[in-house]
Amino acid sequence: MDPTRTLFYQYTGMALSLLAAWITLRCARTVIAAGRGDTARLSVRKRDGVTLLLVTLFQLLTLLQLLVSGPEHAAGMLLGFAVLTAGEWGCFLLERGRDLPGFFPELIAFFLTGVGFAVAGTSTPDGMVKQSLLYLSALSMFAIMLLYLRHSRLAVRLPLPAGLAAAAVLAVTLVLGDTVFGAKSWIRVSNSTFQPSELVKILYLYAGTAAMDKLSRRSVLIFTGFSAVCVGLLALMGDFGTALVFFVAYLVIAYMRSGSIPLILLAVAAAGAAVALVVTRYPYVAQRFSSWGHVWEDPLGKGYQQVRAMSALAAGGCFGRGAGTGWLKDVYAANTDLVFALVSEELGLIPAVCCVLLLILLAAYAVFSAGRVYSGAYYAAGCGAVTMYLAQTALNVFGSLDLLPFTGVTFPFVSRGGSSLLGCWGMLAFLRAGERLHLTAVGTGKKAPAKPADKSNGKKSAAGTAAGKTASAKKPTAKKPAATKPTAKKPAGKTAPAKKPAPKKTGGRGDRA
Amino acid sequence: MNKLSRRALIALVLPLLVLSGLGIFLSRLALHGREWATYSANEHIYTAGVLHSGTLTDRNGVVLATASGGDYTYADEEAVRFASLHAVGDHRGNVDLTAMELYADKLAGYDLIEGTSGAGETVALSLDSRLQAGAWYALNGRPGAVVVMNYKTGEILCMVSSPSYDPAVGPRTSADGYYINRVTSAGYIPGSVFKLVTLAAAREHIPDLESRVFTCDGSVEYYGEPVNCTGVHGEQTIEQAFANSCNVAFAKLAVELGGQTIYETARKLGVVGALPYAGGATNPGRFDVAARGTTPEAWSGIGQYNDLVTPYAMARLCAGVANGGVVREGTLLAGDKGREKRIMDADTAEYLGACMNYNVVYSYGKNNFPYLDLCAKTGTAELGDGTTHAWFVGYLRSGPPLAFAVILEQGGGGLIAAGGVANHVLQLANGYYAS
Repeated sequence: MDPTRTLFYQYTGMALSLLAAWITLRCARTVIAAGRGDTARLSVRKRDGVTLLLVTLFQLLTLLQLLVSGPEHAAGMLLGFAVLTAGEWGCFLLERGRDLPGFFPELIAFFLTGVGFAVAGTSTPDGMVKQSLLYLSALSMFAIMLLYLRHSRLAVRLPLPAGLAAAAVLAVTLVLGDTVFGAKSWIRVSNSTFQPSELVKILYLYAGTAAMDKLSRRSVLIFTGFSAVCVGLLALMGDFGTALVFFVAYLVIAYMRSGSIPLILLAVAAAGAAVALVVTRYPYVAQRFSSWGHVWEDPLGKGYQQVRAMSALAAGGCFGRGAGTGWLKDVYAANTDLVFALVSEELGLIPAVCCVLLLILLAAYAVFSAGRVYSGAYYAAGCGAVTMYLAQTALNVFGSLDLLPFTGVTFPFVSRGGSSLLGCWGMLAFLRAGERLHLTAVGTGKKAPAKPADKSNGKKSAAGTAAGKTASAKKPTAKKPAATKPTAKKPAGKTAPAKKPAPKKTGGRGDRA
Repeated sequence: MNKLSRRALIALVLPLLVLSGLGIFLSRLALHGREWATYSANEHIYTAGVLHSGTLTDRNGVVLATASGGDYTYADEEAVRFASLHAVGDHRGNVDLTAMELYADKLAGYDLIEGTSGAGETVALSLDSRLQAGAWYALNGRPGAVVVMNYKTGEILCMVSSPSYDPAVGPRTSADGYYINRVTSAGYIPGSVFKLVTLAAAREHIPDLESRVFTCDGSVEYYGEPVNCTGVHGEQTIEQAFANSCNVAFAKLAVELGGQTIYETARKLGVVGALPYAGGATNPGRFDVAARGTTPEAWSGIGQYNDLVTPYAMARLCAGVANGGVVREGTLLAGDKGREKRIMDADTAEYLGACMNYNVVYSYGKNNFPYLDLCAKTGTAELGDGTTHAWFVGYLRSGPPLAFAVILEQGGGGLIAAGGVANHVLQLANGYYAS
C-alpha cells in the first residue's frame, strides 16, 4: 500500500477511535446520571443531539474509508450512509415532544447500526441497497412497536396469543427450517432466508412480561413452562446459542417476577441436568463444541474461523487497518459470527470494545430506568431485552475469540442479517415503551401515563418537567413509602402524595442540567 | 416498583460478566496478540503464507534477506546465500524454523497499539556472514552441518546446513533433505561424541572414577556378544580412555552405570529431548534404554545402538561445559541473551573441560589447531554399512567464547574431516573476534 493511503487510514482510524471513545464516555455519563436518578439530566435532548452528531461524524469517517478502499462501490455506499444518517436524524426529530426522556437507547442502537453499515459496506459492498431497506424496515418495526406499546395497556392485552405465536413460530421453524451449520433455524422464502427466532424474541419478551403486573405464583409457573417450551424448541433446532439467550432472559424475568432465588437455582439446575442428559445421550452435540479452548491446535480445521478472527483482530491494532481493507471479511460468517473481530480489524479494537461497552451501558440504563418507567411490565421487558442483547454479545464476541463455545449467535445491531436487525430494533421498543417524561407516580401500571403536553415545544417541556421526574426517580425519597407496602398491589395511589414535596427541592438541579 | 428495581439488579450480573470477559480477552490479547497477528493467515503481512516486508541482517549489518511489498532479495554474496538458507529462510517457505518464521512477529512490526502496520522492521541476527561463508566453503559441498555459538550469551554466530540452494534462485532439485536444517532438525548417530554424556554420568555416579584403571584388549563381551574397540589400548586412566575414545572402557562404564542413568544424564544435558532454540524447538534426539548388562546397553553408552542427537544439542552441551555448567539457550538475535539453565555441576563441567583439553593436547595434536586454546571431542559414528559420520565438537577455553559442533555425513574420520572444517571456521572466528 502506498504511504499516503497508509497515513490516511492511520489518521482516520485514530479519529474513529477517538470518536467512539468520546461517544462511549458521554453515554457513560448519561448512565451515571440515570443511576443517580438524575432524570433531569437524562431528558436534555440537546446533549443527546451532540452525541448523535458525533455518531454521525463517526459514520461519515467510516464512509470515507470505505470510499477510498472501494471507489467502485461509491454509489451504493453513499446511498446507504445517506439513508442511515437520514434515518437517525429523522428519528431524533420525530421523537421530539413525544414524552420520551432523552434519546439514549436509540443513540446506542444507531451507533451500533452504523458500525453494522460499515460491516456491510466491506463484506457485501453490492448489498448496500438491501442493507438500507432492512434498516428502514427495522426503524419501522421500532416505530410500530413503540406506538403500539405506548398506546396499549400491555397488562391486559394479548400475552397468551403472543406466547402461543412464539411457540408456534418456533415449532414451524423446526419442521420447515433449513439447516445451516448444524442449526435448523432458517426459513427460506423464495431466494432469501430469515431466522424466525430473532423475531420470536420480541414475542417472548412481550408474552413473558405482559401479564406480570398480576403477580401470582401461578403466572410465574406458566411463564416457566412457556420458557421451557421455547428453549426446548430452540435446542431441538440445534440453535444452542439462541436457546441460551432465551434461558438467560428467562432467569432475569423470572427473578424480577417472583423474587425467588430458589426458583432461579432450580431453573439453572434443571437446565444443567438437561444439558448433561443431552450430552451423554447424544455425544455428537458436544462434539460440535469440541474445539472450544483448543482452536490453535486445529487452525485449518475446527478452529479455522476463530483462529482467523483472533489473527485479524490482533492485526488491526487499536485503530484498525481501515474500513474495506481487511481480509477477515472473506472468511465464512465474518460479518455475523466473527463480526467483533471484523470490526476490530478494520475500524480498530477501540471502536469494537466501545460497541460492547455501549451495550453494557444500555443494560445499566435499563436497570436504572425504574424511576422513569410507569409499568413494571415494561421495566421487566426492558431488562429482559438488554439481557438478550448482552447474552448474544457475550456468545458472539467470546465465542469468536475462543473464550466461550462458538455458537454462531449475532452481535446485536452490528451483525449483518435482516431478521437480527429487525429483532434488535423491535426489542429496543420495550426499553422505551414505558418511559415517560411526565411520570407522576411510580407504580405497577395503575397510573396512566400523561400524554405529551405540548408537541410544539417539547424541549422546553422536558426541562420544565424535569423536576417532577427527578423526584419520582430519586431512590431515597421514593424508597421509603414503597417499602412500607406489604405487596405491590396498589401502591400508586398512596405513593404519589408522599412524594409530592420532593419536586420543589430538586427543581434547581433540573434547570442546571 | 422499588422491590422490582431491587430485583432488577440481577440484570446487572450479565453486564458485569461481559465486562470481566472483556478484561480476560484484553489480557489474552496483550499476552498472545503477537502470536495471533503473525499467524500466516494474516494477509496484512503475508501473501500465501510468506511475509511481505522486513529485513534480516547479520550481526554486522550485512543484509541477509529483505522483503518489500512482496519482492524478496537476499545477501549479495552467493556463498552467504547458500550458507544462510536454513537459518534465515526462503520466501517460498520451504524450510522450517527459520529466522524469517521465528522472528516474523518482529519483522512484521507488530505492536498492541498499531497492530501489524505492514511497514516491516529490520532485525539483526546473531549470525556472522563471514563465518557463514567460511563454513560453507569449508564444507565444500559435502552434506553436513556447522554450528558455532557464543557460550556466554547463547548467540548463534554460524549455522550452516549442507546441501543447500540459493534462495534467490530457488531449489533446482527436490532431492531429499534440502529443506532440513541439519543443525537443529536432524538427528544423527553421535558415535564417540556421546562419550561426553557417559563421562559426565560416570563422574557424577562413580566416586573412584579417577583412580581406576581401564584395561582394553580390543574388545569386551556381554552374553557372548563382543563390543569391539578401534584398537588395543592396554591399561589406561579414564582421561586416557576418553582421549583414546576407547570403546571397551566406555562399554564397561555404560554397563556399570546402566542405560537408565545414562538416559537421565543425557536428558539433563539436553542431548535427548527437544531444546528451546530461538523461540522454536529442536528435534528431540533419541536414547533407548536397553536391557541391563547387554551389548546394546554398552553400545548405547558409546553413542551407537539407537542413539540420535542434533548438532545443536552437542554444541549446547559443549557450551555448558565451557560456561561452568550453565548454558544460555541458543538465540539467533544479535545482542540477545538466551535463557540461563544449569545442566551440570560446575565441578563436572570443569572435569569434562579438562578431559576435552587433554584430548587435544595428547591425542588430536595442538598443532592441528594453531592459535586455538581448544577443548574438543571427536566422533566417528558407524552407520553399519561401513561408512561413518565424522563429528567434531568442543569449545575455545580462551579467546572468543565459542562452542561448536561440526558433522560431515558419511564424512570419514572425525578428527581429519570434521576437525578440519571446525579448524577453518574457528581460525576465522578467532581472527575476527580476538580481543
